[in-house]
Amino acid sequence: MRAAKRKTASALLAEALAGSWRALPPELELACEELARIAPLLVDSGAAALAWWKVRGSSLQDCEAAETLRQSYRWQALQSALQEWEVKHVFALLRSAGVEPVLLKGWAAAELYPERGLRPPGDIDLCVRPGQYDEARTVLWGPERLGTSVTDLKHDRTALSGAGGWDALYARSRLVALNGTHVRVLGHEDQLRFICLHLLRHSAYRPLWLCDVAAALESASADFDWKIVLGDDALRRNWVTCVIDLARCLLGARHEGLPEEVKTARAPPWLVAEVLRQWERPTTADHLPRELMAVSLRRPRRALPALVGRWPDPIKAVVGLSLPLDERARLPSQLKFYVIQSAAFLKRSFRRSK
Amino acid sequence: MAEHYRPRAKRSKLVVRALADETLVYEVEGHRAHCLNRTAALVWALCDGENTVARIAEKVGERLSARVPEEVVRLALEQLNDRGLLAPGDVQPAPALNLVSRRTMMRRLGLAAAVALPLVTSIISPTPVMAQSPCNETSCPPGTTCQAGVCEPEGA
Repeated sequence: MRAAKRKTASALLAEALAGSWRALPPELELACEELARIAPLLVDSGAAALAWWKVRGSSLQDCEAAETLRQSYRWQALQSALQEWEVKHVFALLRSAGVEPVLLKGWAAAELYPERGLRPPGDIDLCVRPGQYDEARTVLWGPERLGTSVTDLKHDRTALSGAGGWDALYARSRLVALNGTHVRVLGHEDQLRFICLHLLRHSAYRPLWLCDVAAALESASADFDWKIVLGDDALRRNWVTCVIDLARCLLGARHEGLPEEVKTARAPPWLVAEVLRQWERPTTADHLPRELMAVSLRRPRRALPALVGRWPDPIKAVVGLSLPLDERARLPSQLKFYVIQSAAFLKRSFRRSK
Repeated sequence: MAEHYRPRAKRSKLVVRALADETLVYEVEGHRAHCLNRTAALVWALCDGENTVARIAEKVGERLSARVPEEVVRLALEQLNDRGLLAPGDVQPAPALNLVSRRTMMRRLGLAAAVALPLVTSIISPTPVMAQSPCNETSCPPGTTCQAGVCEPEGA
């Protein structure tokens, strides 16, 4: 009899996280050894608390690895509480300068989980009216700013702006209660579009991002406006629908109530396989170059690995070249993207040397 | 003296997050984190400088729908004190807090009562989560530049 094929770590991650964003998550059917295998990946990628959410109350909770997940869950719950204070402080600072920011991604995404602490807080991601960017930057990096979270004001404008530009985006934003005040977050539709596109921009390497998409999908209300999510641009429709299909096929996100276009869209098989491959290296550190290219090139031994290390994955190449996610061969796109990136680097280096 | 002891919890410079079956406490200044099980959290919440140990035991018993001996409260106070979660000026009658060990009490109270034994543990920070997105050329604070996705001091 043939032994059962050993599951890959990313397949185990997908199992561990399927449905983990729900108040009543499905039971996790992994062995203790399998949980132990993926526990470091879960911790490092910020998905350990979600895995604990599924493990608690099951027979797996007595496994040694489960205790690691539980500690992450507790730690994240505290980090989340700390960041709430910081978010409140940042909003107060900006409002005192006449800037009304809109919060997106991390803290805003955490709202859709049964407990905010299930999602690691990460950066404080804000967007402001285009004309107020410099003012906001000055305030946030001025002496009155407290706290330690990185505040990111710069985001992919094309992913943010759906129909109607900033004014419409702002009009669709919502005020959410936070410890005696209200903070403004993206509207549900804008948030879903943004997190889908953000995930692709970063090659989908963190499974947590797909959980965010799944949580947003399943919390869509009856009056959810899919026209805003999908927009008019065919390319972005393709990208968004592919990501939604990824959430369904990798994490089991429910698809009831989705419009026909979204329900029938399929992520190409290479994309599904590539996302699973990316999940084997799910931390930001895994995706940062070890050193600046200019530094590597000064040392011949390190130049070749640095050049090889910058070969783009297919998601980065296809999205970077603004191509649809379809069945076409990816290699030419990867090659083209690599050449463009290299040319841009040479151009920058040449300018600096003058 | 012990019967007049009215414990007072430390309340300032703490971040507290109540979860379903435990309470998490983070000390902003010491950067230490603690996990209080339900009984310990109930005792801690009742340490207002007004309630005596007997009164706390009574109130915790009401919340847990079970008789809670004063020893259980003392055990909780001992652990809270060890973790620095009682007010700095809080003077405890030493003998009362050295009465029984956890094991002794478990034996004395039996298994059913043991589930309500207070427990305060430390939370160990796991490997730091790389939750942040890589920086870009505009997201780094003044005095730093984005190098290979990380904000580094200028000139580094």
